[in-house]
Amino acid sequence: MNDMTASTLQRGSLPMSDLPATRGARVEFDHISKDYGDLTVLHETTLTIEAGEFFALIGPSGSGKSTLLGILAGFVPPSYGAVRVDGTDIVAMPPYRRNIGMVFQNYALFPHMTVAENIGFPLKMRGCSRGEIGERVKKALAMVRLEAMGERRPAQLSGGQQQRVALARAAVYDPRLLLMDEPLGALDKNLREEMQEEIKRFQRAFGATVIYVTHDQQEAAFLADRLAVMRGGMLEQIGSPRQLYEMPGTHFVASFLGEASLLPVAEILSREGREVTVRTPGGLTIRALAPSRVSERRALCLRPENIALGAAAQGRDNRFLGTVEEAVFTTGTLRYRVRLPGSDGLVTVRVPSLPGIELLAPGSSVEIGWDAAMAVTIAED
Amino acid sequence: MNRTAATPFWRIASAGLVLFAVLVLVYLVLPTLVIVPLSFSSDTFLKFPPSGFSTRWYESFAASADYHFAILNSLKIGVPAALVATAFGVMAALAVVRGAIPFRRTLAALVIAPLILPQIVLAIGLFPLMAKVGLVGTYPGIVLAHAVVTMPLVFITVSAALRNYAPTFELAAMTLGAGPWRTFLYVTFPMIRPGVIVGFIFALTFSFDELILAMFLTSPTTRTVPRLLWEQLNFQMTPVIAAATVVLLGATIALLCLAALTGARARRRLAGEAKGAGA
Repeated sequence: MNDMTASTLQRGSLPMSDLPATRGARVEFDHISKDYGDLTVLHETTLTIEAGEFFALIGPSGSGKSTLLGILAGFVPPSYGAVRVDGTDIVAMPPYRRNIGMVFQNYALFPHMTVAENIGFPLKMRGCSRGEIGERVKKALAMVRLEAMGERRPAQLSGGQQQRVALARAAVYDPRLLLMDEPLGALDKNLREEMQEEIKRFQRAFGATVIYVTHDQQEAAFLADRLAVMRGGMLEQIGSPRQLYEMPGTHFVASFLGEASLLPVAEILSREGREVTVRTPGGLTIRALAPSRVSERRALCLRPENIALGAAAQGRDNRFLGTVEEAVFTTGTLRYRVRLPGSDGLVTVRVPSLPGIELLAPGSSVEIGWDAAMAVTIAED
Repeated sequence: MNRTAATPFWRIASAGLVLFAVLVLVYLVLPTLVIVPLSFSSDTFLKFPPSGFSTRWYESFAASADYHFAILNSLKIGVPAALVATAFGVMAALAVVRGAIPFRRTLAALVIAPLILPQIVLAIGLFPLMAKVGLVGTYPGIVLAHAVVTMPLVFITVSAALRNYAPTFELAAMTLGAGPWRTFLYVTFPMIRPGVIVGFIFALTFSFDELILAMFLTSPTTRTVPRLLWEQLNFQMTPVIAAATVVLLGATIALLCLAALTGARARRRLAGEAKGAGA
C-alpha cells in the first residue's frame, strides 16, 4: 500500500530537472557575413549559441535574421566566415547532409503526401526500414497529439494541426539542432499563444538546441532563454529577455521590446558607481542607472510600469509634477500620457486598474516619480 | 464581384465584350467545322455545300494503305519527339525558373524562340544541316526537328507549374535529407506533374498537325498525315481528304480535352493546397 503510493507520487511529480541532459548542438557563427554585390545583408557577425539553448533572433524584416538562419540551414552560402556545429565547420556541407531540423513559416508540408508520409519522409531519406518508419511516425504523431490524422492530406488539417505536423516532421529524425523561421506567423493570435506553450513544452522534452526567428518580441520573450535583436544586418544586442527589457543598450532595442518612454540627455552632471545624475535639454535633473560606457549614452529609457503615480510617487529618487494629457482604460491597466515640466515631452505611465481607482481626467496635475534604478541610460541613434 | 461596378455602363460594356468574344470564336471555329459536312459528302470531289450524304469517304479513308502508313508514321515521330521535348523542356524550365544562372530572361526568350519563329525559317535552316549529316528523310531527323519546335510548349507549361508554388518545398526536402535528385523525384516532379503531362500532350498534338518541317524533312517512307493530306490536295480533291482531316481534328480535340482536364484537376488540387497552407 505504502509502496504503491510512493511510486505513484514519484511518477506523478517528476520534476523537469530529471529529464535527460541536453542533447542539443552548440552553434558558432564565426565572423559570418553575406553580401549580394554591393548590398550587404549581413555584416560580420560572431555569435555562439549554447547546446540545448532556446535562442531567438528578432528584428524587423530585412534585419538579417532570416539570412543568418539560411546560412545555418545551408540555403544561403555566406560571403565570408565559418559556421561551426559542435566544432565542425559546415559551410561547405550541402543542406541535406547537415542533419538540421527546420520548421518553415508556411510549414512546407508536401501537399501530395499524407501526414504520415510527410513525417516519414526524412526517415525514408535516411534509409530506415518500412517497419521502423511506421513505428517512429506513430510515436511522432502521438507526441504532437495527431494520432488519428496520419492518413489525411495536409490541406485537410487546420493551421495549428499543420504546424504540429511540421514540428513532428522536423523532429522525427532526432536532429540536435532545430531551426524555426516564423513558425507561428500564419496563425491567429489565440492559436499562436497556445502553440507557443506547445513549442516550449516540446523543446524541453526534446532537448535540442532551437534557433527561432520571429518579428514578434512577445513571442520571443516568452519562448527564448536568450535572444538577439537584429537590425540592418547587424546584431544590436544579445541577452536574456529580461536583460534586454530592463537594460536595453540602444534606443532601437528599448522601443523594439515592449513600450518605452525615451528622454534625451543633454549633460551628465555626476557619476557615482553605476548611478549617474543627468540633465535633460528641458532642464530636468534626473538620477538614473548607467550600466556602462556612460559617454555614449545620450538618452534615458523609462518603462511605463516603472513610473509611480500620485501618492505612490512619494519618496522616489526622481519626482516631477506633470500634466495628464491622455488617459485610457485598457484591459487590466490604466494608461496615461503625462507631460513633464519643461520641454522634455511626454512619458507613458501604466498602473494596474484596481477596482475603485479613478481614471485621472486629462488636464489634471499629477505627481509622477521613479527611483534611479528604474531609468536606464541608453545609446541614442 | 464589386457591386458598385455594376452600373448600366459597365453592364453594357461587359455584354459587348461577351458578344465580341462569341463573334471571334464563330469566325475562328466555324470555317474549321465546314470540313465536317464536306467529309460526309456523296460527291466525288470537294464541293460546298455537298449535294448528298454518304459515309463512303470514311470507308475509303479506313481502307487506305497510304493513310494507315501515314498515321503510323505520325505516331512514330510524334511520341518520341514529344518525349524528347518533355525531357529537355523540363530541364530548361528547372534551370530558368529555379536555377541561379545569369541572363535568365534572355535564356527563356531563346528557349521559346523556335515556337515564335516562322517554321519555314527553321525548316530552311535545318534542311542543309540535316542534309550534311544525312538525316533528311529519316525518322531521327524529323523527330529532332519536332522536338526542337515543341520543346517551348513543355517549357512554358512546366515553367508555369514551377512558378505556381514557392521553392520552400524543395528547401524543406533538402533539410529533411533529400539530395538534389531525390528532391526532384519525390517533391518537384509530383508538384509539376500536371504541367509536364499537359506539355507532353501539347507537344504531341503540335507534332501531329505540323506540316512545314514534315515537308522539308520527311521522305515518302517517313511522311506524316499532314504531309499526305497536303500532297493529296495537290492532285486529287476527293472528300477523303475531308474525312481524314475530321479524324485528325477529332484526335487533336481529344488530346486537348485531356490536357484541359489535367489542368483543371491540378488547379483544383492547388486550390486545396492554398487553403491548407493558410498563408
